[in-house]
Amino acid sequence: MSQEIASSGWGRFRASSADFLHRKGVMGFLFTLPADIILLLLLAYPFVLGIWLSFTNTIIGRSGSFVGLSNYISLFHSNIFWLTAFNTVFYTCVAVFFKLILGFGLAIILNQDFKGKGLIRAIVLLPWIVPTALSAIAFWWIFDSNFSCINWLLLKIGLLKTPIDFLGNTINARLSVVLVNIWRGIPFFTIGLMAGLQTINQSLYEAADIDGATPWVKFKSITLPLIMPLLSVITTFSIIWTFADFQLIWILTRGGPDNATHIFGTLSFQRAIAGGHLGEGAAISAFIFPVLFISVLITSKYLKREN
Amino acid sequence: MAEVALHHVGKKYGDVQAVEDFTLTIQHGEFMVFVGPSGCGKTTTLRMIAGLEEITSGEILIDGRKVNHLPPKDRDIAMVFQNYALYPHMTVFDNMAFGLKLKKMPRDEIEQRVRQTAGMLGILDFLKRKPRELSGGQRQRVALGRAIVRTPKVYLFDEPLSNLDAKLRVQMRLELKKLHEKMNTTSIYVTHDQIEAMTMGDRIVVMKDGRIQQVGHPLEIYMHPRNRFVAGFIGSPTMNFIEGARIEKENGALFSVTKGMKLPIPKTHFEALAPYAGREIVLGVRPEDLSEGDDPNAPGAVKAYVEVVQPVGNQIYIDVKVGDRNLLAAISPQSAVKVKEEILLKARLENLHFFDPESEKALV
Repeated sequence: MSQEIASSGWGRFRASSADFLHRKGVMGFLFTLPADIILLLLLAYPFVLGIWLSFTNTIIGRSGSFVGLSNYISLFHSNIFWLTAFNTVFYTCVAVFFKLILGFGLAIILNQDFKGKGLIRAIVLLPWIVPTALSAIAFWWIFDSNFSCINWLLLKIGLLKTPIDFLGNTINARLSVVLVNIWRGIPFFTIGLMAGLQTINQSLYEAADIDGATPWVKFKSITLPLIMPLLSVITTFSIIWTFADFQLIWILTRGGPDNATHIFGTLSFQRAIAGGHLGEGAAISAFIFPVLFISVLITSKYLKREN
Repeated sequence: MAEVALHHVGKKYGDVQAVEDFTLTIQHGEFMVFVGPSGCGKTTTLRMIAGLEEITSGEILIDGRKVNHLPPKDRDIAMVFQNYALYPHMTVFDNMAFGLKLKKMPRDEIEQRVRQTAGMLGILDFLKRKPRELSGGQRQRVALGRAIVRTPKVYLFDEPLSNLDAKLRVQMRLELKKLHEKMNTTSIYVTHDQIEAMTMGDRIVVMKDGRIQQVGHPLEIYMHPRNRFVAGFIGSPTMNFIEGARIEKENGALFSVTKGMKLPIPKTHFEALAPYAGREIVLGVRPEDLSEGDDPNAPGAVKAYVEVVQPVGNQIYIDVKVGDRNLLAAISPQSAVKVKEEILLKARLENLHFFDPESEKALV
């Protein structure tokens, strides 16, 4: 008798727990739980910790205390911080602009039918595949004040009288790091946009040919509007990566000369890790977040409207 | 006058001859249909006329003017594509107006023309919508509208109905035909569907392997196919081909004889078939030329054994065994035919087809 009650109780428990599990929210939550935990540990925790640190005066080896907004206030009064902000915006705007124009142009060229296009497409991808640290070191040599191969060549053919100081002069250094970033980032645009171009139905261009469209009209009225959603996503990604760049500049200039190439990533690293001021470093890196958040917001708004 | 003339037109892709020695004149106002199995070169030919494909040899004339190297926009043609090729990001109005805008037509004239055409096609209410918000049939109308609004000299249709469901296809077929009657513009229509070809074409070009097999009015092609391929391609269900039938001469009369079947040949064919007496030919009988008979001694009577019965409403298709061969017959729906029973069929002798077994050419 008692056994019967127990077994029916167990049966009821099993039935009700199965019901519970089969509810839409519950099952979905359980399936995403492992991913949620990973995200919490690796993204949310460091992010929140960074924000917290920015409100403290922590330095390496000593846990600090809460200091409110004082890190932010002192940054606002720092010339280097404002120079860095300018550098970051300059670096991002110029580099992304040229990556977009050149990458798109290359995508359109490589999308044509010609002999050996497979090989050329593979070669275009190279700057993207090579680890940034390695390509940055290669460029460090190319731009070296004594051993630069560009200088050597230009001097040899007589186009230069004195060598160019690529990384030692503020303007040259800024342009040099932007150039390397462009070189590295073009393939991302090219490959991404080429994939997009290939999804555009060829018969649209044929219909436009019959309608009497010139190549420019076809680009403006068909290619551009149809590639726009993809283009905006790719551009957003590029903005994020360029804005939050670090390794390329750190290897080439370490933010110099005279802080002319410091961007948020490098300045934050210099203050927090090299200088030991974790609180101040965290406050600098916190400035990266709102800009990226806004650019993602704009893109997703645009995509929603398009679709 | 917009006459389209092709003289010995050829197209080669590398070593592959896609179209060969294509010579045809399409009269002003004619509705010409190119039909054939996939890969026969019909679409390639259409695209060469449109200027979307370079021609390798020969010449194309539109309205008496050689257009071999003229870009599509200067040929005064409009094309309706199989997948409609509507600009997905533009509204229906903009889709239809695109070509007119490029021609720098005044705004109010564009507006008036688009509205008039849209009214004719019953798509006035959709002018502000984008193609993805339309059904297949509506998109098809927009594609048509985009072609019509330009009032070209020649319309080119590349299988425009093949993406529609069967019912809509029949309806659009009718509408296209009505439109053509109304506008009377030279039209070239490509399809792989022989029923579409038969019902729509003033004339039909049957193609195979890049070559014209036959050109003619639909019924002419149906009644007098020039070779075995055309005979098999045009007509539904497909013609029965009886290989190894012999022509035999008896008392001055000719018969085509095969196991279980001895069909007298009409006198009108004697002259053409007399040289084949004693030889094997391929006999062609359309399913609809086999009906149920009542007199086993009548000329053309054939005893058959019914294997499959397929009623389709207006007819019954029966698969029968005659001797050692299977034939398809399309008989009256009133028939009480049953599976696994004998049936007496009667062949319409004047409609028999005879083909040379080697050249496959029609003999009469």
